[in-house]
Amino acid sequence: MMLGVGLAATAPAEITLRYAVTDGADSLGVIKQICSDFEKAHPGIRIKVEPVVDNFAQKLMAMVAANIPPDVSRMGPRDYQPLAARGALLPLDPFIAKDPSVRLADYYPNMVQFFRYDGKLWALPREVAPTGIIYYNKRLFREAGLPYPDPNWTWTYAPRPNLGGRDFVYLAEQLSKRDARGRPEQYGFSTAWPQLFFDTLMASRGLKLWDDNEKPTRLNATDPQVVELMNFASDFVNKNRWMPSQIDLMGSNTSQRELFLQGKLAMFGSGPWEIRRLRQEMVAPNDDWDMVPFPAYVGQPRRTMGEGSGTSIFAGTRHPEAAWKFVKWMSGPPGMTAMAQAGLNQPAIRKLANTPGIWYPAIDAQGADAKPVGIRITDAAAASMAINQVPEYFRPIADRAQGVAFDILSGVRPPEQTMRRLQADGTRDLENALRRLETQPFPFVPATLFAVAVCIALLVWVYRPEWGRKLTLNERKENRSAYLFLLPWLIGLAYTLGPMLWSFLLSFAQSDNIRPPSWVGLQNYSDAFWVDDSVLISIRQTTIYAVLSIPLGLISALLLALLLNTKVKGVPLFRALYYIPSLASGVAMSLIWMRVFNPESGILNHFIYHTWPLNVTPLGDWLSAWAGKPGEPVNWLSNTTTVIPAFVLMGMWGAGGGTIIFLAGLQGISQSYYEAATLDGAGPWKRFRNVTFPLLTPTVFFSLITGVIGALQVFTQAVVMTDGGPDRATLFYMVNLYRQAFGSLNMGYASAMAWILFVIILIITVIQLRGSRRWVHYEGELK
Amino acid sequence: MGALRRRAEVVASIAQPEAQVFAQAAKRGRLVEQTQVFLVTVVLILGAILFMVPMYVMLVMSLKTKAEANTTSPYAWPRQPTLENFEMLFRDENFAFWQKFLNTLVLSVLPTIGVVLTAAMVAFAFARLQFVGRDRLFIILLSTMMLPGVVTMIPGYVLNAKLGWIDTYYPFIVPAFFGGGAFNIFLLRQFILGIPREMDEAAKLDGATNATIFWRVVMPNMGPALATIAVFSFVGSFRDFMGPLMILNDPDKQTLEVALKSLQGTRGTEWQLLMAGSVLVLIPIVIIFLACQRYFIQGITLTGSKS
Repeated sequence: MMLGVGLAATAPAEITLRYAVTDGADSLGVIKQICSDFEKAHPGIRIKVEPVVDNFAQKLMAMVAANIPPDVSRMGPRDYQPLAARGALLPLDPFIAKDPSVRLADYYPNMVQFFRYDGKLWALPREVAPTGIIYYNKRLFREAGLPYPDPNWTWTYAPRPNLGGRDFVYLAEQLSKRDARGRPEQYGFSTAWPQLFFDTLMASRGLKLWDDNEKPTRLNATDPQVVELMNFASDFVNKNRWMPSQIDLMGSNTSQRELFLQGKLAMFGSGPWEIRRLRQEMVAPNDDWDMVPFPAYVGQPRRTMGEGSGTSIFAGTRHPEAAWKFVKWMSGPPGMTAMAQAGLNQPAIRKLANTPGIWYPAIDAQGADAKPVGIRITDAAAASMAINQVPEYFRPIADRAQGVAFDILSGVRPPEQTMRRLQADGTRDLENALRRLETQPFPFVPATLFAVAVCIALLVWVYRPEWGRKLTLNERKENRSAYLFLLPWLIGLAYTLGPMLWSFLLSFAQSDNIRPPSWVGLQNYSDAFWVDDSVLISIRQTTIYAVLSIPLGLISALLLALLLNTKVKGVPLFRALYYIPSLASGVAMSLIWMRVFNPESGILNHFIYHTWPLNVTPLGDWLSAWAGKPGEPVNWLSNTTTVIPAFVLMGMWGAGGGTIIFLAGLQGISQSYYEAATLDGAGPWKRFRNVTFPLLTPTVFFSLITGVIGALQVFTQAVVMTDGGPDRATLFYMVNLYRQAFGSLNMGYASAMAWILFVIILIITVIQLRGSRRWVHYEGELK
Repeated sequence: MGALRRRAEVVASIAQPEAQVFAQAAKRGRLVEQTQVFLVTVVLILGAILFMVPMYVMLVMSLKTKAEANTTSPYAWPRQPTLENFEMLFRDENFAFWQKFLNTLVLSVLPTIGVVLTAAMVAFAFARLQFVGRDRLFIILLSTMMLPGVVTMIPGYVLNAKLGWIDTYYPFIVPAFFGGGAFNIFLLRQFILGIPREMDEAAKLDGATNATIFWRVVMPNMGPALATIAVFSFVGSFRDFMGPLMILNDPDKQTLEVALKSLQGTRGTEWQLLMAGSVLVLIPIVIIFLACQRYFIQGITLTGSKS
């Protein structure tokens, strides 16, 4: 007994903290090392790293909704507000106040500001990632006889040759070269992604697309200064071609980063994370490179954009003190030093960021490790990061507003037009968002009663037709037997119907997945039809896709199955070859397909325009005319006319699954039917029409129903490849729904959309069921 | 000249003995059939080449070094083909291929067994038996396929949490043994409806119960359909991404598909690694598919059926 007490008193209880991160292959190892160093320094605390490789915000939301959040988590400046507002996070100010070892003044102040909301601090910053950095290729400057960029350079709307290295636009112009045919072969400048160019210009020029960050009431997309800037950005890319457009990149099969690596891009705007890989991948003759901060607009202070991340503690944790120790470690010198020395992240503590050997190369560093000399500018860049923190209800509107970058930089229409449309749409969205702020609590008790009533109504609907009818003995026996066979499904029904009912109730509410829903009645449904024009557009685009892809998909799957059902040698191999493509990873395949659809170097246009025999047919010209751009090879994914046919083509390629189903159906037809038909003198066509097809109709019916359900829910490719564009041409219903659910955090609205789709599919299916009696032939009839 | 030749042929054919005539007709018939087979083969080969182009790109990129992957065309065969990407993945302790492979196998095989068994049972009831409320229950069955999964994701998650099933394999395995999904039940129901009832009725005359009919008469004739849903179920579980991502927290329990996504990294993707990972994930599926090939070929045996 004494021994037991003694043992209990000396052994520290082991605490396990769950730590959620988004890190992938490149940084997970470093994170784990930091955690194990922490464990050594703090015996009794174990860290369980839980990597969430994608959909991080969704998973966090789900965990909070289910009350099983992690203890500690990596947190970005955009992810924490809804969580904080709901009380899912612990404010860190009390911990900092009690702990002299953490001084907020040591951190970059704007980074700290990023994580302040409602007067409290919700995450301790770990890294800053200023994106106002330009990497430049010194060789290209020397060869052009130009001076290197001066760190105090500036920019304005026209090049100023007299300023030489102190004018950004002049340098961009001089370093852009075209070949003999007038096509660009070298670009002066590009950001790592188009949105960055747009955001940096706006920040640098000191403009915003709305009036106020704290209390936005108005959009000013049509402000003349804004429009002037939009025209400048558009011309930079489309008229002057100093920066590659998305089309240029697709045509040359590269990314902006690759252009820089290949020495075809003189200046590359990105963040500090590039440094590590550039050290390894910038090889001769492009190995002489350096960094310079993005210029300031003439007459204004330097302002650029940036991001970063920090570490937060979740309110549900049972070990807040231990969690704080870990937060201090990960978002303090130990964690920051490890990440910086691995070249992954710039520390959020200013002194650390400026210490050689941590983020800056060590004093005695040699060769590539000593580069880039200009790394010191990351400090100034971090200090001048602008923050665009807007209230939560405005965030989706802000994101959509900033999304015009895509239109502006692709030159698909004049900037004035884009801005006018943005002003109209954004104003309407803002009114809706403000309207939604006035909410009523969700009536849980009536809602539960309603759900029960719905269940009872369903039961009544199923059983009423035969209510009161007396069953014969045989019928009762068959009944019992049938229900025994059905038992697994019936039990599982609770698991399936429960969430469905919940989402139905949610469709009458407004929910951001984290806070308790609030009641809005039929507002979601009425908004979907009368207020939000994107829903009707989605329905239209999805219908077009379905009408094209379902028949084509069915016919091609059937033809293929018929071909594979013959006595050709090696059928199993062919079957595999046709089915395997549909098995490949959706994301990897989408990216490969993007290259196939390249207007200039993709294999599809190659066959149509440049290879015999198709290039001598008028096929290419017809296609170009149909796409509205005669004379140019069709740009499949960027053209609103051709993008859906391109998707249909992709869908047919993945039709291996449908083929397998038809094959199974074909194999199910007994040979004796064919023998009988042949004896009666039927040729192959007659055999197909009178034996094969009728006996295949049950399978066709199946493929038709599942095909409709599948086509109306087309999703992944539209997100990965075109992100709902161009110009909402691929804003399929599911893409729209998903954005509402997890992008705009309008789960109630998304649920309403889902149920609208449900009703549409249900109606179509019931019509098909009724119609099936006329053309579907069941050999073992349905009695 | 042609007419004369034809007349000579006709005269000659009448003059020849019958067996020779038949032999010649048979040879012509075989020739026609052989041409058909040849044409079909050519079409299939061309089609297969087209279909396999993206897979070819995937394979090619997985064999390139990092430098080559960044600089050469995706269609070009690597100048220095290397297996280093695969080696890196096998050695990477964060990717942990073999452990994840085992996890994924467990999560694919067990549900497939459950699906094949229970979907067949339920489909049999809908296709062959008469019971109260059958047609309307069938509509309810179909309607469970019609609601987009996005909006049931969070309620489903909360339900799983209340059951204590988060970070376990239960949400993947248990539902498979309770019907296995409307898609499979529907497919099997259509297939069973295509099987003639003669054998059922013969068995019933012999006094068989429904269970016997199900097990001895219907199931043996469902080879192709069962193989189909087995393959679909296996592939679906093997490739499932959102499910394991949301439900599983512990990285040691994770699956290959999720591990594949982690290769995309937080800042920029190493394409050659991602493609190598994609190839690795694809190989087991292909093997299973090829192994199941023979079940696709089983036809219906109708012994003693109507002539």
